[in-house]
Amino acid sequence: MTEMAIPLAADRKRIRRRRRGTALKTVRVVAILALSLLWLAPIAWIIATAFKSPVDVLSLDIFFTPTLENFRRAFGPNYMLGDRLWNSTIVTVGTLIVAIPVSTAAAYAFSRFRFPGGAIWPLGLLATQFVPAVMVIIPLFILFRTVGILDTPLALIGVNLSIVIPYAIWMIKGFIDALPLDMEEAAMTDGSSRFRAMIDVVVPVAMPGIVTATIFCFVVTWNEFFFALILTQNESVTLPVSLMSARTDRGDAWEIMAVIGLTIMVPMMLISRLVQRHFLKGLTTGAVR
Amino acid sequence: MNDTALKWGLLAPAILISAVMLFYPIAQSFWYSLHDWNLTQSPDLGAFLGFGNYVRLLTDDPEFWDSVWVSTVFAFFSVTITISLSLAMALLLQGSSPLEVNVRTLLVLAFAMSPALVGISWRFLLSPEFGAADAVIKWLIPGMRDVPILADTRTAMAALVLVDVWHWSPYFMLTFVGALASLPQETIEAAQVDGAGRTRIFFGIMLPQLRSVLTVTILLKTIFSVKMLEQVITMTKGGPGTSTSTVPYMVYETAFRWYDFGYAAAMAYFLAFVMLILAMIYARLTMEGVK
Amino acid sequence: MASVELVDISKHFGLAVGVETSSMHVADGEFMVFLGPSGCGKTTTMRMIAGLVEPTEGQIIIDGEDVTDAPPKDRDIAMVFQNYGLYPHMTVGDNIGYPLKVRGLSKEDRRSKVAEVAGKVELEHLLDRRPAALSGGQRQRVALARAIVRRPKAFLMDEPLSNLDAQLRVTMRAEIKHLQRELGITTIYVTHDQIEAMTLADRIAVMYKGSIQQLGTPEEIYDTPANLFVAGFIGSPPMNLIQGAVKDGTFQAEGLSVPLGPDLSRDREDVTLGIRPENITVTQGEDGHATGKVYSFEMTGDAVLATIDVGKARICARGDRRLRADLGARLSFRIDPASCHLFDNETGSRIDPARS
Repeated sequence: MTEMAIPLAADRKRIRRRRRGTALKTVRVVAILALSLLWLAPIAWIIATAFKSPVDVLSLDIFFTPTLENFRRAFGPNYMLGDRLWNSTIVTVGTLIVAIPVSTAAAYAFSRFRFPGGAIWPLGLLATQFVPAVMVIIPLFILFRTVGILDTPLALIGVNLSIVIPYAIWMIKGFIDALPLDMEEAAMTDGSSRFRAMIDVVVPVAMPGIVTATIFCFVVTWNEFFFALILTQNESVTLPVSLMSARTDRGDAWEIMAVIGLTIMVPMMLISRLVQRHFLKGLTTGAVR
Repeated sequence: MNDTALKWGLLAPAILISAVMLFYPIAQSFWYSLHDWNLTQSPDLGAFLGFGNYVRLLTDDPEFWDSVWVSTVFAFFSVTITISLSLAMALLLQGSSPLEVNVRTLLVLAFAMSPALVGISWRFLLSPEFGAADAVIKWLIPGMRDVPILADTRTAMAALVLVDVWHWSPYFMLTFVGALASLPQETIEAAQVDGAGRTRIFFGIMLPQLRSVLTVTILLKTIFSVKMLEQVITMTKGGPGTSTSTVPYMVYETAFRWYDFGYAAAMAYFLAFVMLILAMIYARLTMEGVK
Repeated sequence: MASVELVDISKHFGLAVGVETSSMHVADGEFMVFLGPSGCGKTTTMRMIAGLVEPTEGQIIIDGEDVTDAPPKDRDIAMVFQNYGLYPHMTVGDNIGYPLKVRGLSKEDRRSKVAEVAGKVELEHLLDRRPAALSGGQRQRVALARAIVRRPKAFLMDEPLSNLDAQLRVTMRAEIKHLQRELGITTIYVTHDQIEAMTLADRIAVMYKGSIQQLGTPEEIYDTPANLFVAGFIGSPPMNLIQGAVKDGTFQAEGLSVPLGPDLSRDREDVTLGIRPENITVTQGEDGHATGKVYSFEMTGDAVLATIDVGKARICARGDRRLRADLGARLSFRIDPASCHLFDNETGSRIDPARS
């Protein structure tokens, strides 16, 4: 009876191999495409709006004549997008230049030296990030006003440092923890000081971790809105805050908002693959593996 | 250079920055919360009230309790929807086919958007006259035709929650993709061979092994949801009425609209106290994860 | 209990070939071992039988039923994984009982069956523990118990002993063999360890680069290796393989000349002589087939292994345990003509005396 059930060799290739999966696979692909639409259509619409004339903005037509007029206006004296872009760049670069070396040094110390309580210190530092921003901002506002650095990039760099350093220390520490001690010990037996061993051996090997932290800090700083909203007025307004300027008394200039939005998004688009790879390790490092 | 000197030398810059930018404001804020200080009345710290601000907060401010309720509703829905949706998305997109990898990368774009940009964009997309999303929703659900989504108390909160879900799901989806990938493949294969079907494997084998990841992500998202402020500022400004006025937004208004710094600080401390409890649970779980 | 049959089965990963088209029949109750180095396709073949990997072409037939397109759960097989695949969130008892639970057995039935198999593998006292609290050997036993708790049509075992230490491996090997004989269930066992293969198997399939090199009983594989790969892979230390030519009934290589039996004596260019170390006798004086310099000399306990450089070849001989020689000393040896194997260098396959 068993012989009968087995098809002849010639028929074998005609057996539909993937019977069991076909329907399911179709459902999957449709679901995936629906998801992409749900997430990408809004973003695409915003990007398209940046190229629409104000009249087209008010219509819901998908087709329109693209124009660069909005960019000209955005960079003009009313919106000063160029200045905002410059401010955002200064603040982001300034934050990264300070945060990464400072965090790397602290991460090495937390990883390689003994502390009573162990990981409680870097974790405690990380826990300060759960303090609501509204609480920290009041004293900082007063402090910066007293020192006279309200509405300067310096104030924003300071605040951003306080946001990113705890995360960066935690991420880089996690990475250094995973590095074997052998290399440093070899370097030290070869005659270098502990500090030299750190600079020459640990930092280069920990580079992937440092890159992860850098990308994380970049995304956070570049997008930071609330502190900048409170601490800036005219001079050092950053891109996310300048979004608010598109909401004027005479109505909302959505096409300008879209231009600013696009400007904020461009770097994120450029590094989105990196963000996917590295950002994941960000907030939940240590907790989720 | 000996090790002790090196240790503190390496830590010094981080300690200095944290002291000025984190510990000082956290402590100072508490000091403010014990005083009557309205910036419109005096540029200097006013009378010492002891815990007067806290008493007022807890016993004599229905508006504050309103905002606690708003925050609770927001946190509850944004956490449950975000976590379940992102887990479902992770199951859908966990593979390594080009379609799945590319869609993952594209979804991350939504998360990498500035929270302010997310809020403003959705305000635009949901605006009743020329919002594209608004038009789509009204086409799909004719009953919504006369509802101005962000200006109606019934729908403004739903919109706030869903936009938050839209913003955060890609991130947690990636977290879950990572967690799913780290599940020992053999346990799933063993279950297949042992005779379990797809649903059974998910609930009986995968979900229990994801428990610690789920706990941590739920807690993290709760913290983020309770803290969330940018979208309220950019999308609803707490309105209509106070229907989307969360605790952080109320602190923000009290401090920077009414300049009642002392009282705002007390509210912030109350909020911080709630966050501290959540953060301590998080730290505990993280420490366990480290071990 | 059932037979397992593979018909023209193959697996391609994109352009790469995982398993070349091959067929085999595993008889009811047979213990079949897939043996080969890593990446030879043995695990892929097993996973195709389990239904965890879909074959690119061909058919898999278990107990006369074509299961090529059936998911693993419908194949009624049990599998023991290399890392055991235990469910970390379940107790040992629940792990063992899981296949029964999935099949909807009542709690009482499950408990009695679990107790029964737990007794068989000496786990009764550990049923309430979690897998994380067990030693490697105990985990291995849990995995085995989970496989035998129901009587599947076949057992599949994927390098089940490779994570255990050497001593435990020997004990567990005996245990697996005993269980398999007792239960009489068709078993397919994947390993890269030839000792395991030799001791356990009724038949061995030696695999290399995705295809079956030889399929036969352990004796056949040891005594008449089908090609150069099998010859070099089986045996420890492996068979000596010396390149040369046959002329006037004698195998000749640089510094070496061995008279062959009449059935292999035809003249041939470009062949390889295979001779196992135990078939080489170290002689006193210089009256052997060849003489060379001692390259290394190792004591194994029951014998000595002398590695001798002869011309370009390095030949290993097993000698009496009392034999001693200094490095660099000259040593002469004889090769047993009856134990010589000849292989064609071009095809790599064995030159069969009967057909030459």
